[in-house]
Amino acid sequence: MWRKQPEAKPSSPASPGVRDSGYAPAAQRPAPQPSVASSPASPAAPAFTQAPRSDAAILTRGICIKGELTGKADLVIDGDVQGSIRLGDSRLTVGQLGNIRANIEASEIVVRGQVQGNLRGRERVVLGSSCNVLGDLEAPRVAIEDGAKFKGRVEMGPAADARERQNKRSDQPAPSRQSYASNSDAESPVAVGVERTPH
Amino acid sequence: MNFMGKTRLGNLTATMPSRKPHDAPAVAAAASHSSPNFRVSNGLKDFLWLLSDIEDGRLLDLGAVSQATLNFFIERGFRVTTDDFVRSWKQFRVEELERQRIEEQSDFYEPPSPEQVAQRFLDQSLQYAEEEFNAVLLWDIFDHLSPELLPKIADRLYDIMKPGGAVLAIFHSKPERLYRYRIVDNQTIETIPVGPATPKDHPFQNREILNLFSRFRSAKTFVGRDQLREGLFVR
Repeated sequence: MWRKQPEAKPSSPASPGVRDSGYAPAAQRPAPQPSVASSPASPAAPAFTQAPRSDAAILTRGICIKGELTGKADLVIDGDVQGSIRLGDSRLTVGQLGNIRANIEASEIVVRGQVQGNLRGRERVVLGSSCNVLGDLEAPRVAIEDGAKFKGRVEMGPAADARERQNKRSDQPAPSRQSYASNSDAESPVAVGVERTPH
Repeated sequence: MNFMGKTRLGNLTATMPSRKPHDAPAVAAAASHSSPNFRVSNGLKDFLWLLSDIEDGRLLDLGAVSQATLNFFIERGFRVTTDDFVRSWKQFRVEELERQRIEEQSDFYEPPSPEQVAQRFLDQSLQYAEEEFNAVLLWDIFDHLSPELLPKIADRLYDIMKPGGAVLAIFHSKPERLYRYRIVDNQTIETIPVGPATPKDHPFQNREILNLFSRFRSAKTFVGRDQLREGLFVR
């Protein structure tokens, strides 16, 4: 009855033979501290941001891309990107060292670095405490950690959700246009549709 | 309901919003907040009452972005724009000092007057369309800006607000700290100290506040027990 349950051995990433394909720079970095906003009486800031998935592609510091970045895999950016980023149903993480000057579309967008451009998340947008974002947010769910720096318009909840559903419908290729259906990497001709507010 | 009709000064106090039954949980929640950072805000209460009839409204939050405040207004059908004004001003000051340091090396350098610096900042700030917003959360930013900026900002706010739109502002009696603000419920604001502020020469007097917002159709101030003055200004 009181027999001790066998303890599960923690898997050590450093153990030999185990290949660590994780995102090392982020893992080594100290986790963002809860901002001063979490005063003793205030509720603890929820941990909105999760670690990037280990199979995510990584654009490391020192890499600079100018132009259109598209794909269907998760992406972590710690470098510089100028232009536009469209990841469809994937997740984009802008690391603390990331510096983006682009409009971003992805299923989930997590920002811990610098972004100048509009963010459009199909599921959600997360602004980490270390981020600095200048642009508009549009997503069904938006999570903002205390300490995040953000300037722009926010559209979230049912309105953004409805617009997203509408956009998804228009994303689907028309039956007569086989070229879009056959080419998985082809971009569907959907306008971003974010109304820009002058700053 | 006619929004303009709600803003008559005479009516403002006489027809204070009656507490709706569904506000009861919020009131209980506010009462249960034991933190000194939570404060019951009469200004917020009146501000929300003024906005209560607006559908698909636009709100400009000039404080640091807060998830709670965003959710609060988005749930009420507002489209929210945030613009951390004090941070923008600080950033501008750093860039301006750097620019002046470089220009000083020229023989023809003439240091800009504070008014010129203020105008330069405003030329790149609050660039919104006229009559775009129904409401502005000004918070305490006037406590932390250069005095030359204040009348210009008040004028600019007037221009970007719709007729009948409301501004909620806070003025500290001793603005020694920077605060971040978060709306907790219909009548409670959380004031979160985030660091020291540049000390001001003197706190705002009521007359100064009214003069700053003289273009607005009505102005009302509330002084709390903690000597925090709230101002509600209706265009």
